[in-house]
Amino acid sequence: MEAQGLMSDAVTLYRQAFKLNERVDLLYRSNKIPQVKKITNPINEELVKKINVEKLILSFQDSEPTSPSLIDDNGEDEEGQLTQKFSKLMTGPSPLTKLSNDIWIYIMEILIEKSPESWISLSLVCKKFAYLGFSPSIFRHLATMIYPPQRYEENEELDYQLSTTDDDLPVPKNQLKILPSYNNSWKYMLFHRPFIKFNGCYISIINYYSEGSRAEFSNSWTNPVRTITYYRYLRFFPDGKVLKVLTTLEPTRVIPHLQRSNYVVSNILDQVKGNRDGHRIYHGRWIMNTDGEVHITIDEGSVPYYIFHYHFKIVNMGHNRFGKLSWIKYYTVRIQGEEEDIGEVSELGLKNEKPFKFSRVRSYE
Amino acid sequence: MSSPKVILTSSDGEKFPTDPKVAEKSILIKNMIVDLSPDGLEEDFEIPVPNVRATVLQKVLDWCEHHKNTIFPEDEDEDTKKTTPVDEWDRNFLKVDQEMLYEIISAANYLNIKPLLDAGCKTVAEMIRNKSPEELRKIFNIVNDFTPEEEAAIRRENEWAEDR
Repeated sequence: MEAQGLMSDAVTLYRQAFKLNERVDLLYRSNKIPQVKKITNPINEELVKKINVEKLILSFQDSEPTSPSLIDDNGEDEEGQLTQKFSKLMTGPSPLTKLSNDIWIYIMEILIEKSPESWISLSLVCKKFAYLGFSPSIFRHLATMIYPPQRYEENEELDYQLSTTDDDLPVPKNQLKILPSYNNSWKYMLFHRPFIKFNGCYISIINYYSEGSRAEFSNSWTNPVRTITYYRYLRFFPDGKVLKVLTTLEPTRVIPHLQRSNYVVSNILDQVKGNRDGHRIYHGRWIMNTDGEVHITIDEGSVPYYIFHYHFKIVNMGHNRFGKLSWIKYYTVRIQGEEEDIGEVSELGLKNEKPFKFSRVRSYE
Repeated sequence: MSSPKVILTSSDGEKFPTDPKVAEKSILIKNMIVDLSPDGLEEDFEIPVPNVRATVLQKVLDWCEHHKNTIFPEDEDEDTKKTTPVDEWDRNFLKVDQEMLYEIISAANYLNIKPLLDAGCKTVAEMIRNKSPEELRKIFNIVNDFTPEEEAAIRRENEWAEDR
């Protein structure tokens, strides 16, 4: 309840619960929170940080998968162990693991299209699959998939010159032409050249507190505080369209509606209340530059006489590369009104704004 | 007089007299026929298939027979091809154990039968889909040969790339 801003109601209910049973918190924990039984060996973080993953993966070149070792089995009587030994000797690793590298890479490419997380899982099965799954061919495949649909400001400026061929573009579609500026490494390109992601949406969560006043005759020493959470959503499309929503509705209620044909986040409750304006989906355009700065323009925003402009920078979120959009500036340009006001630029404050974080959405794939 | 046949000989010596139209689903065989008798076959033509066992060759020829009139789109865009689902008949045809699946895929690769190779690879991809690395190790009966630190480091460096 407190997560929904009903702190004082929550406290009242907690008190009641403790009156009924003073060990209620322990009861709750033992019932509702899953018990972690499996003891896993802690990972040595220092060691993890020291690993040069690229070198490590190259060292797997000649690794062949092995089937479960016979020595590890214990606890069974001798006869049981013997039959187990035999059954394992008979089987060995699946014959499929012996498919040629080319075929495995093709299978990985199919997975990248259909279920990218399964490509990661397969590549983490054993050394051989890590060598194939994170090989230059796979990174080339990813790069040629990711970069051509990006929209570059540098290219757009040439739009009116009809004669432009790929060779004339400042940012060619043919990725081979760009490769030399990334040490001739597809992986290096993918890790260092920002891009907008399309298989999900970017969400910014803003929390703020609003202090209310005490009820009449209240004995409370403090004023009630209400937490207000609202969300900004952005979904990008490769054709230059972008959808923007500003709402208090949480992601599960908004994400399914972020479709290019939709103009409202409609749900039955809002229709009943006749409340629509709060959940409009604004349609705009996006463009980026090679430094990873994204510019969004919304012509038909919440105020008809303004054009809304948003500037973001694509940045890393820890290990999650290019997973975040941080604000650069946010302003409006006046397009209607008194003649001297037209073109007037008003900067909007960024004090309360939070960066957008990318979340993958399976239904968008 | 019956029309001439292509006689395919499996690695274990079994002979499969085959209608050329069926055998030509294999681009390898098609090219061999064209090279050796550009005006079409006048008599039976023997082709050894040294690395395919009789049971597998039979299976592959069943597939060719079923698809002898199917026209497979040639110049399909690579990415569309990867996302097209496997057709119903092929899916049932490929419900075989891992050993057989391995042999069919390898034979399709060797004989250059693209649509069969494609269906086989997609079948393997379906087996893998939505499984954790641990589940996949069970399916393929292989052990985790990473140290926990190696596995964590590799995951950490690359996992983000599933978002695009």
